[in-house]
Amino acid sequence: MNEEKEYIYFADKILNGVSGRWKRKWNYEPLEVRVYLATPLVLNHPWIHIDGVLSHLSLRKALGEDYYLLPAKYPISKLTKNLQLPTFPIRFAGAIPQASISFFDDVKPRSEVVYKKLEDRWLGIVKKLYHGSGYFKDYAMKHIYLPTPKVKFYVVGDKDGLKEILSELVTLGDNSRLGWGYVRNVEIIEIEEDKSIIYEGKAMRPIPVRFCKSWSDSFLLAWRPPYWSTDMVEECVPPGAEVELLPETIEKMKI
Amino acid sequence: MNRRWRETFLMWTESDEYKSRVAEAISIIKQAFGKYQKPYCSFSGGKDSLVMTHIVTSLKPDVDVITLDYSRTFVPLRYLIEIKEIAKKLSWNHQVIRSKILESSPNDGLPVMLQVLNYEVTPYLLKKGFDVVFVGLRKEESKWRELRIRNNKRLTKLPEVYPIAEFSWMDIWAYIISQELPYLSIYDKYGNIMGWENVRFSTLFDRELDAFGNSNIDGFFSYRYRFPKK
Repeated sequence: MNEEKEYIYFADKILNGVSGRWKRKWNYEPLEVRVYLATPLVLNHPWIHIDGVLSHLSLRKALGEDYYLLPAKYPISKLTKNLQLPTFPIRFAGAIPQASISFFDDVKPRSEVVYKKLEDRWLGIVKKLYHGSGYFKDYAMKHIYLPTPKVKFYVVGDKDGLKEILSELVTLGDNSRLGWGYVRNVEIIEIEEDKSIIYEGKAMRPIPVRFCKSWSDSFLLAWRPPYWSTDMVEECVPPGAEVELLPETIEKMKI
Repeated sequence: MNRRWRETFLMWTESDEYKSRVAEAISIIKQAFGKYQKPYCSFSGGKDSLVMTHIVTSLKPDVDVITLDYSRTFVPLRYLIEIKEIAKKLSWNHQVIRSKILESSPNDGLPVMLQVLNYEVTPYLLKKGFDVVFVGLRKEESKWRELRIRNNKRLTKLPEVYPIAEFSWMDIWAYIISQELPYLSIYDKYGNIMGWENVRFSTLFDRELDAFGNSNIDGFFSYRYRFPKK
């Protein structure tokens, strides 16, 4: 399939998959999403983005089995950039998703090593397989391991819409195929105050500096889903840094 | 580093193993000084080359200390500044060599490393008249390094000397703590979680080290350096 046909195929699939959301009317309110875990969490980044998790789950739902055939040559944002998509159960303050990063209980991270090794002695072959490189290469993978029972996120969103999408959430974090980060239960609680973008003068998620009046720290970070794509990298105020937003950004945050 | 670890390492300096290894390193260096005219120390900024260079400079203070700059894609500017500060604090004859190949390379250090050493660094050093290099490799680090040291398999045309080849991780930290040497801040950051035996200073987000899962760890600790500012 050439690139143009591929683009049309996946764009159609996405549009059909999310068409049900056009009729939906969202009731946006400040919420706290609590994800209870059954197994410890492994991370390769200090935080998780709930909007990233939600867009991943929605895309997987929209594409079905075709999700696993997505082109690897270019990021998915190249497909979705020009599409007219319906609104999301998470509110956007202008361009910034009103969803905070993950917050964990006070746990101390540790390092764990997982070994991937092919035991060729059980294969019944005489020829010795080379493990130094190539297909059968051995790996000693170090992980950052957080034995947290609960992960908290703060969002401005629609409770039912979030519940619907998050019902399909099975795992959180890195290397879930090894059994890390299994989700036991998801709880969504209404809260009074909006803590999604900024709280007590501190950033709750990466905020591009072009939306800010003043900030205490900044570096290059992805700030919109898909967070793994370098297209989304911009100079941002990192979570935890002191920040003052521009008046127009504050205006857009109001529900 | 916490007090308990400091005390442990200081106690290790009293051991016979430690004393014999330091004495052996000194004798290797003295032999090399007798054999070669113009040696230099290869100082990456890490703990092993710090110890090696300190032993060499304590015997011959005017020896040249050279650091290869791995470019901003692999080593953040903050750490390069720290390396320069360590060398300045210890009054070394320090010099940083920049590599055009590494500076233009995307995040993939392994295939270009030999190219950098053989086509950029070594010709420059030979032109300067250096005839031997002190390298801070240790046998304990990996099987490949042990074989490289045992077979004296050098990477470039310059002969290599490995004074601290027999050192263990305990010896390295014991030397640093007992001599009160300044070391890179990255060790304190990673050491508490990864263990002082596993902690390393190397290139960050490097595909060369993916087999050891190091980009996972860098993604957690050094996330602010994932996308370097050009």
